[in-house]
Amino acid sequence: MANRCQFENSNDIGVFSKLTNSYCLVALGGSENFYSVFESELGLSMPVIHCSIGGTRIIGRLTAGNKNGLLVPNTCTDQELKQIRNSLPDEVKVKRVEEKLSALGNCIACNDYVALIHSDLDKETEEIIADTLGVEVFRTTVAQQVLVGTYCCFNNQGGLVHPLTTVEELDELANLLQIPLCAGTVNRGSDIIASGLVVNDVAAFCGLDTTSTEITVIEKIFKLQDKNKQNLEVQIRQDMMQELE
Amino acid sequence: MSQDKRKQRDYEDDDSEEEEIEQPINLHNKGDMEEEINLDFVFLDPNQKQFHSIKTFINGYLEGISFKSSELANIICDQVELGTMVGQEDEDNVFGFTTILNIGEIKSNAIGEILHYVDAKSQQYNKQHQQLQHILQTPKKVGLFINERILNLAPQLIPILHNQLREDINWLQKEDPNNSLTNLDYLLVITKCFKDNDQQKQTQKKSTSDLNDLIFQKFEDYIFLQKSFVSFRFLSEGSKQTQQVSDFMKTEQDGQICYRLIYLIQLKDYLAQIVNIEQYVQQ
Repeated sequence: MANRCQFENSNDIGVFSKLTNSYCLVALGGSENFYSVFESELGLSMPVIHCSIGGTRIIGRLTAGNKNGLLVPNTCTDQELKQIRNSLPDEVKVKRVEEKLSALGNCIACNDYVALIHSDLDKETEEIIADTLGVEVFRTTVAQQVLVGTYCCFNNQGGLVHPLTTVEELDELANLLQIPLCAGTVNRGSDIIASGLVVNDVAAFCGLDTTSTEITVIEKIFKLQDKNKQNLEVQIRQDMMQELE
Repeated sequence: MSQDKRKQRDYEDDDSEEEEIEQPINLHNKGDMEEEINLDFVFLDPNQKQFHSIKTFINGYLEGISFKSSELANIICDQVELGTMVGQEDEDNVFGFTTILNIGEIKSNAIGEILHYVDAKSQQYNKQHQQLQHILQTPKKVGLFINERILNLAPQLIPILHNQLREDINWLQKEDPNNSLTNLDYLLVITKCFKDNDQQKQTQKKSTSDLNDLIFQKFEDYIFLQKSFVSFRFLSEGSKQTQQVSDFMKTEQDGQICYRLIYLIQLKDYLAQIVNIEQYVQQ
């Protein structure tokens, strides 16, 4: 299910939170509304951890992670790192990365199996990503943008990319990632996909401005719909095709 | 209908909806060479494509308190007859804008929330609360004056933004005198200011409400405040919140204290003070 929410009037959910299949990070200082939306949807299965990185709240754009691990930038203080490590499940490896491009969330887009990274990331960082997150790493661009982490967002079932991505690029990326991809927008036409949307295999959260068309696209491509609803749709489609025949 | 009227306006150069002002801006490198970069700014009428930029500016309007900012941004973008945006040619990004909304005419939850906020803060902090309440009882005579921009926008552009508002009002008075925006008496302004966090200085000064003590984010607030009818300020809640996050990073109290400032100014005083803005910029 895709849910709409806001962090202190901002529709940029992906800036203030990070969602994976085994944990969720949220920034400090938001209203209770924001946290309650997450907690009610994710339930008790997943820890929702309040934290900050380098004294800032833009944790979604600074960190990159999946169910296997979490990477934080060198701006993260020892105290913050300790707090995150203590709050995360034991299986999740946390690593601080010494990298010039410190906004890891903007440079890395990943699910539990594959990661796309910024073309200029260090070789050492690439190895850390492969090791900590347990993923296959590809250096690529999305719609001629190097900030892959900003302009695309994917889970293990599907992905959403920048609206100006060409069909050839879509095919190429879909091949790399082995999941279906779709070009689209969030938050009423914003092309900064990852800042407006966080998603894992069971839930997605997007800004309040997201239109119902955008939500429909998101639910379809990330396969978040109810199984019953999906079956119903298939049935309706089949009936319509029969009538046309 | 109002959009057609807009197109009929006479501009000096042509009948487009835009005015182009070339502002050569000098930027100095820290190195030996002086580099001059020419930037062209364009003044535009509000339109829906600017929604995202406007929304970004409006988000912090009530210091982080959640309110229907999307609705407000929509209203601003739709009000073509009064309002000016500064941007660049062919781009939907807006660097700053001014507009006035008639709070009595517009039926919106966002306006209701803003008025509720002003009323609550006024009850708490305003010595002239009765006067403010009295004026707000005739909401059709009060305009919400929204004036937001990026921090470092070239000051030469500011007088133009305000002048455009005056021209818009004059135009409306000629073309559509029944428009609610032509009958405003007061403008309500919600803005920000700062004060140096210097404990020593504060104990020495007798009066802490001196305008000259305050540091204004938008310099024209200083000019308007001199003619304001009712004004009050209070400590910004937002600054307390962000301090929670970064407190452990700070070793000492530094920086400035952020205040929220709310004031009422009569429309005629506002229009008269615009001249002073130009003089201020030229200094």
